[in-house]
Amino acid sequence: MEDRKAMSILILDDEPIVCKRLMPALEKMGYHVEVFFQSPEALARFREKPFDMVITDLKMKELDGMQFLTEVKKISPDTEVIVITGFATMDTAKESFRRGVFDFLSKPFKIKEIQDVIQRAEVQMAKRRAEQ
Amino acid sequence: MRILVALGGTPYSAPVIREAAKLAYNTWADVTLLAVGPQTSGAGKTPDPRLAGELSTYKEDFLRRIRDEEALYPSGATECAWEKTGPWAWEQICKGAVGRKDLKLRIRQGVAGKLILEEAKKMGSDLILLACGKGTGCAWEGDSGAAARVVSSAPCSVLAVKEEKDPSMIVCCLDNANVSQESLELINQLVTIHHAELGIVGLTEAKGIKSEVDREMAQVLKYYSDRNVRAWVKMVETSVFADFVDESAEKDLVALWMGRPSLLDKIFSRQRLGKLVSSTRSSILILR
Repeated sequence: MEDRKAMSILILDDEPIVCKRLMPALEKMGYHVEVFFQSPEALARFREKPFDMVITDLKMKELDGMQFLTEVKKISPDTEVIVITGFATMDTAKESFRRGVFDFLSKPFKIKEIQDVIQRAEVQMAKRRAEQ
Repeated sequence: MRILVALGGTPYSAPVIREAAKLAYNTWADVTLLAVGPQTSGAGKTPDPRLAGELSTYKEDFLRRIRDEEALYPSGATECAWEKTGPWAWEQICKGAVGRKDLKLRIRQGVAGKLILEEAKKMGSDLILLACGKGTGCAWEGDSGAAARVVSSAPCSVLAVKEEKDPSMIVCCLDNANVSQESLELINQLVTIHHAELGIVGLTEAKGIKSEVDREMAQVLKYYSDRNVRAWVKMVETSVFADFVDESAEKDLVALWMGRPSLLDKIFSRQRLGKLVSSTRSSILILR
């Protein structure tokens, strides 16, 4: 019987209420989830253990989301990144995709919306693994 | 974000398409264009061709305004057809259309207010855009109370779109401590898109402002200040609040935080809210 490891997701948002909302919903789907409110800590953790997926806000103090996702992609190019932002513009969306994000979600969004995006990302990751 | 654009097949729809395109261009939202009209003859086997034709025109207008260099919404369709999804309900399905985000076209025929609310609940919308005339109402054929019903009972925020105008100020009014995270985030997006300033207005009674309202206003002000959004605070007495809203709505985008329980609910009963939405010259945002 195949031992399927739970996909690991790192969530970074400086608003605790966002993480509090997302974490139980994603854990319920069977994912291993860790949340961070500050980007330097999140990056240090990611260096220890590259997660399968990262969900990150963009507008944060110190290391902003754009710099964070760039570092994530450098460390682990196969990690899928989903950007969530309350200050969405076409330019930030385009820049996010240029840096390799899987999807870009503007706040507010329902849990179902991000769950759908995560499942699509999972399918893409499985396809990529099968092709390797 | 998921946006439901409710269109009534009236001349009011052009400004709402522009607003929807502007929002979608910046937020990369999934969008549903919903045309609602009365039931016609034919037992609902095929959609009203007038609604179908208008919706196709609005879709073209929407995509033209997006200037979709990022292939944001499905294009390149080889064949589109209306598929029945339920009694007096259809969705356009297009083969070969590819896009990063969803752009759905739906038609519902029946009581407009009820159908818009059903659709909003089904798709899990975060915002409903209602097509309304500038100072002349949000009339839906066969359901004159549709707009009032939607703004009063929607499960999410509702923007009644009036004229084509970019507000330089968004005036947000609150009377209790029930400001949802979703509403804060929606205001963020509107401030960003319109490069607007933000006014936070608290409702106060003759005996003074409620301490929880005062606290909530301070928290909301801090929330936006921390995010470098230019914001100011003002108190307005209950007795003159309705007039204040009427006056502000002339030039700015007024947003009402309609939480429960709400003094605003009492000041703006469904009838009064419907009248406000219908009569003002500027767009009104009901936040939930």
